[in-house]
Amino acid sequence: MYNMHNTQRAQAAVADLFIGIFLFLIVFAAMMAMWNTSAARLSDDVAYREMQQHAFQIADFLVKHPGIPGQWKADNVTIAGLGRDRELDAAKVALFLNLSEQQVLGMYRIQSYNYSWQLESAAGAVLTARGFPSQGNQSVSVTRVVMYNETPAIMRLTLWQ
Amino acid sequence: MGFVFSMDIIIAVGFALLLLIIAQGFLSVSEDPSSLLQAGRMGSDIVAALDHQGALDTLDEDEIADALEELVPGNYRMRLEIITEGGEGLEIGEEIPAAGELFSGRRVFAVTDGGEIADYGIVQYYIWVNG
Repeated sequence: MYNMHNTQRAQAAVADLFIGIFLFLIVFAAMMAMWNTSAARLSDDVAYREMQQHAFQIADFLVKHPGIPGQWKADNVTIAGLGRDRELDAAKVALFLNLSEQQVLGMYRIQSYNYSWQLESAAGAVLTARGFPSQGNQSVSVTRVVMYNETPAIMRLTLWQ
Repeated sequence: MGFVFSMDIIIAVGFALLLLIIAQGFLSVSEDPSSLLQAGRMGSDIVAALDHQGALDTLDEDEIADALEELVPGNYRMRLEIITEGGEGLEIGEEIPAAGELFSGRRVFAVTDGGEIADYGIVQYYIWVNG
């Protein structure tokens, strides 16, 4: 009688153990899935914010700074700027369009991205453009209002990867 | 006793999963400040364009309002408050919304008369995303 009672308790304990392990595995699997999702999302978020920062800084430089050196040409340009205080210099825009892809990617240190740059009239007609339209998973587009040939225009810079 | 113990585990696991779901919800809510950053740049650019076009210089409410309407994209709303050193004051554009985020900035400009600087003005701008 004593032995039988002892055996029944042991069975209950083993069943509880299996249920406990099974449920623990469910929770553990859920935690691992959440960890992986969060890590991937965080990584994407960091990459996106870095790209965003690049896009804002480059667009800011293009519309506010004449470049380095101030009277830059294709053969001596360190960083191309297009004007001062959002007034674009048409001659610098023409020079900028003739720079090689390697020069543009190198001077702004965006070799790991693709980019597209375009100037539009206030009505939305494309005046001039360079780069390639976004085909990637992530893209950041910065829109700036500028004066081009003494007329308001829209400058759009998109970084994508 | 064994059954009660299992119920305890199920309740505990339920709570653990619920906490995980809530934590996941918090992690997925991350604010993207880029729209406000973009609005700030847009507002600053538009006021600069108004200055370069000579619209601010006129201190003409209708002319500035027309120029502003041409420049502000459809997804933004903007308000200008202009005050000059000579005491002129203008308020142009939409009413500032009671709630929501907006970006504000200032620009100083010269009021000219026959090519000579006659006065100085400060334009305070407010810009926010429509909707």
